[in-house]
Amino acid sequence: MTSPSASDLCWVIGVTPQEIVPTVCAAVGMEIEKARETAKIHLGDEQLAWEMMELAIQRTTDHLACLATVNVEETRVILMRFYRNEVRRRRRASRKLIYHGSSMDMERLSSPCHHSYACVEAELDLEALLNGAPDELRRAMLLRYGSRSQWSEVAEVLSKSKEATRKLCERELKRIRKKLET
Amino acid sequence: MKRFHSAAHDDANDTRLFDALQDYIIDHYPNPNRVGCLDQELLRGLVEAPERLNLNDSKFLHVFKCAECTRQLRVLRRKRESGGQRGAGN
Repeated sequence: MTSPSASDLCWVIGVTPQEIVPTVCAAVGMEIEKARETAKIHLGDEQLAWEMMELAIQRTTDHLACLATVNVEETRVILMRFYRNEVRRRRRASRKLIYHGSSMDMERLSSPCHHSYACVEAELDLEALLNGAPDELRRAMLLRYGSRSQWSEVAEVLSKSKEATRKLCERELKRIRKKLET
Repeated sequence: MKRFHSAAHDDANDTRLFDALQDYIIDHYPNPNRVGCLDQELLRGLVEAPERLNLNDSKFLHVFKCAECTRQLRVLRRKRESGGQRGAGN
């Protein structure tokens, strides 16, 4: 079977906005070989690389849509982070099926509840989401999550108003809220 | 299962949202082998004096994907609160 090219994959996903298409395609082109090797080594089937790369492209595109500017290097890092996450999830799922494949496990795996968790997990990866985010946003989220500083304290550290600080994080807060409300 | 019900029930610091996020990370990102974990001093620094840390370093983002670090942070924050120091709660 002929392997799809980077631009084929981007076309299948329908990457938008158009401005980021060349950057995403370039990143995919540079990483696709590594992605195939990773799929072969960890999942035993390099053909899975295309499917997982499509998911990684989709998540990268969503992520890049939040950023003002992007370059190929940053995009490669983000893309492969999403890709590795997908490999990890599949390995975990595969291990469950192989070693714990009782009927109860199968029931759990196929239940609507478990399925919805898997979807949430697939998308709520703040480490990856914040990795390419502006420094101020990362600091604010770390202060709020790690230290549980109040927004007023975070604002003081960032030398911003409390409102501006919360506004800075608003997109991430909405994203978290949306996922946790699911 | 919903972990978080509505922004309308949250306070100005989004406390419930961050509590729900913490629970989510503890449930979904177990890391018993402590792969990539921050050392205890860094976690303590994050809780007690975060302004002294270089939080631009991407290694700190690990806490968003590690149940063990998240649990440790929670313990450290409780210690901080019991010591009457800074913060909005755990």
